[in-house]
Amino acid sequence: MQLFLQQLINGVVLGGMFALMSVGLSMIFGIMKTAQFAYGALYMLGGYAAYWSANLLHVPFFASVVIAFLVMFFAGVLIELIGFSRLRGNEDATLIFGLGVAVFVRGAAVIAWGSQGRFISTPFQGVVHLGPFLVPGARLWASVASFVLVALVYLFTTKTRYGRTMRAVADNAQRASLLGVNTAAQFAVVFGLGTALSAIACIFLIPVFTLSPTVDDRALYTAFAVVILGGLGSILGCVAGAMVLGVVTTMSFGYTNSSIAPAFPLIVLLLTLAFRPNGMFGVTGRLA
Amino acid sequence: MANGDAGSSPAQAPISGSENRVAAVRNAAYVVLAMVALVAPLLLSNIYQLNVLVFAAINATMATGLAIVVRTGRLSLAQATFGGVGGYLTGILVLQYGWYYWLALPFAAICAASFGVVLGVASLRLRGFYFAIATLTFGQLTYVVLGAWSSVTGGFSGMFGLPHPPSLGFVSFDSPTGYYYAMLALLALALVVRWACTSWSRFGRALSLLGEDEILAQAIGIPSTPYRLSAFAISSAIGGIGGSFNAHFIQGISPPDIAPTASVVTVVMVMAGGVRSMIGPVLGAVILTVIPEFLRASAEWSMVVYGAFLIGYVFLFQDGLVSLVARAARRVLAARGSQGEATVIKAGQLCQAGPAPSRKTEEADGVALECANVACAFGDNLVLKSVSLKVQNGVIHGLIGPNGAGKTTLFNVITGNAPLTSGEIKVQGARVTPRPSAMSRLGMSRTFQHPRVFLDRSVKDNISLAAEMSGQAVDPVYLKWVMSTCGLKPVETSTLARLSHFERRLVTLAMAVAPRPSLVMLDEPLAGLDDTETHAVQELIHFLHAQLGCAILLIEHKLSVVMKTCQKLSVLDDGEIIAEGEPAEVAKNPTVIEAYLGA
Repeated sequence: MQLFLQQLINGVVLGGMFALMSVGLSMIFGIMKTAQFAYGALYMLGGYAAYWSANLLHVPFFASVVIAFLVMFFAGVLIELIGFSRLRGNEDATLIFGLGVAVFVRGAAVIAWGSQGRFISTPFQGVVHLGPFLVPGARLWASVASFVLVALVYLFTTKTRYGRTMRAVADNAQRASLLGVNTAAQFAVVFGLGTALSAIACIFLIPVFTLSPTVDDRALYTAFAVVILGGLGSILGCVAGAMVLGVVTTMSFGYTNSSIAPAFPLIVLLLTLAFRPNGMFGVTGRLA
Repeated sequence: MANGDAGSSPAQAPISGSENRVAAVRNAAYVVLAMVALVAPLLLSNIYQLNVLVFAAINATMATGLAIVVRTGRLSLAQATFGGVGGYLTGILVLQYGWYYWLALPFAAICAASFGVVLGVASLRLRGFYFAIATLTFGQLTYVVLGAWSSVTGGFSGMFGLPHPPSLGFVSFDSPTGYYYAMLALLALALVVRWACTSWSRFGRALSLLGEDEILAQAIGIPSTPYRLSAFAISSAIGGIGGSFNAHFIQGISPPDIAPTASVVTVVMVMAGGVRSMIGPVLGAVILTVIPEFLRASAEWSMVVYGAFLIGYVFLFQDGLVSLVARAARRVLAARGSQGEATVIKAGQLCQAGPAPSRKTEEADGVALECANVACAFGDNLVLKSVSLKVQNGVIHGLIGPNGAGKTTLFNVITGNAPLTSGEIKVQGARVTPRPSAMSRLGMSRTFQHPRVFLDRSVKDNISLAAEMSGQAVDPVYLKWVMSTCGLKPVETSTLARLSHFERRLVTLAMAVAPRPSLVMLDEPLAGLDDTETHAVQELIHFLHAQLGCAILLIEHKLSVVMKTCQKLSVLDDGEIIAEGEPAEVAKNPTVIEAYLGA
């Protein structure tokens, strides 16, 4: 029982980390319906933005987070304006453009920075005791950051005027534009925010996964799995999806041999796609 | 053979002079390409370059197979996975069970095809990006399972020491040159299969139509599920064969060879070359195999170039390289602009073709279509409460009602495009379970409120395909009559994308009567037409009805037309029939006046 509970706690913490990885994509794909395949690559770039600002400018950790946030916000806006905005409505082209950016960025990152793993010093070290259970500090902090970010995004999209406008655009961009909303700007801002959030996720996860040009794949697959499990357009569904994925992953690693364990989360995703294409919790057309 | 869909119709359109020149140049280009492929090994000196050539041929085969599925409108990211299934299976059978390679190969194809069907069934409901993700997940799952099942597959280090396939007659697989020619023959075979699955056979034409407009394709009688699954099976079988030859060529296979990234590369080959063209996936595969090999010095640089290529593809040649080249060639060859004079159909040209060549014997009595207490609900939203309706054979039956009354939903329930929650539907007295693709077999056809046509095909193709897919013998004399009657003769070779709304409307009517249905369901055929056009289409409906003797169920808002055209009228309001009878009676009915006609 003790072991099971420990696994459950690990699962929830991992779920929190997954939610952190996915919250940016949840805005870009979940709300704006753009299948952004460069998400993982930009996530990785965000990590490097923080790494280099910490190492070259010698700024403190939280300042490097802010710098990475701003840099990646503008990177996201740029990519939307020169790329995705011109391909809207063409799913295949959107997919391939994202793929192209991802491959390009990954290759360039290896050329520029090498493929070795890098660390960044964070204030979150050691192991935290929760009653009889142990949780590595970095993982715990990543999930805490995740819940804070998700809560902020949720409040932003549901309670602010800006968030409502955003959802209106997501629901029907043409109609929103007739009501006087500058939809192009909306898309750009959401892309910027989503990308910036992924940068924060990458930074908080550096102590867990290290930073290298190949962290993009895990982020990309995890984030898409989480958003699909949770259902499109639902920020809370994103958390639920992440929790399911986290717990399934931990349990399968805890109770089966580690070479077959990665199969179980994939099976859950495939079954969800086959039987509940709108996500485990998704309601068609629901937003935020 | 390699002209893609340009001339895919059963009947070839007359070709203008400039088109002739384009075709000649195209055929010359194919001959040159084939020659280059044949002599390539003689021009290359070292073994490394010859190996690249073999990879290019294998990749071209895999891409050609994948294109069959992509052409039906589904982007599958699992082709390398099917290749892996084939490679692992022959590898295991040959190495561990001592099978003869050529005996093992058919099993590789069958096994890959079965995986394809399973994945196809699981992802039937998915499309677009979701389908892509499902196939990608399947690929990742296979990757994990093959890596984990180390007692059989050798785990993540894979299997080594796979033998080359034994010689077949005079073809030896021990030298790259021999392997190359064998793969070239395989590619030729794959191209023939692909041709059969695009334009050569009725099945192939149906698959292409599914990719162009699934709803319309079903409405003219194409059963999407079995066809899609067959396409998936054929495509994965080709993948399995290609993957097996690949594994036995490099004499080993490991999970990273078949990772989803490899499948992504195959899709990109197809898209980059152009899925609509026969030769496109082949060229895409050759280019994308050769580029990274040139840059072999650095994997990173080849990623950068590859990424840049993808971005370039999206902005510069989205229809594929082949269509880019074709367009350029056309511009050079057809500079004189033979397509300058647009033909416009005038309303007066309709109904000029005289009587129908062979009139169908009509069933004067009896009920063509009966709806009994039909209800339709989406979730808890009850759109149709209880609709009962009888359409007599040979009668024009009008269905009117305010916006949102459920008229189009009723059509959709009858044709199986919307759920039949309760009640029953009878066609010629026999109870049927509505399915979109089954209706045309029952002698029914329909049009859509917004004219649905196959935009990239000619008028003639649209009409003859509608007749062909319904499963009836195509009668060219009758189809010619239909085309003339609908006034479409002058534009028969134009593609639908170039035609006006009015002309597209006429095409939908022609398509509806092309299979000689006993009941035609028309959903607002007059919407968006001006007065002259309205009058012409109204006359046309009358004329077609008089000539063909079919029953017509007509949704229409233009009341003056309905009153004149229909012999019987049903009024639908809020999901229920509120009145029924002869048009004049119904117009006096107080409930109808309140609900619809207004005071």
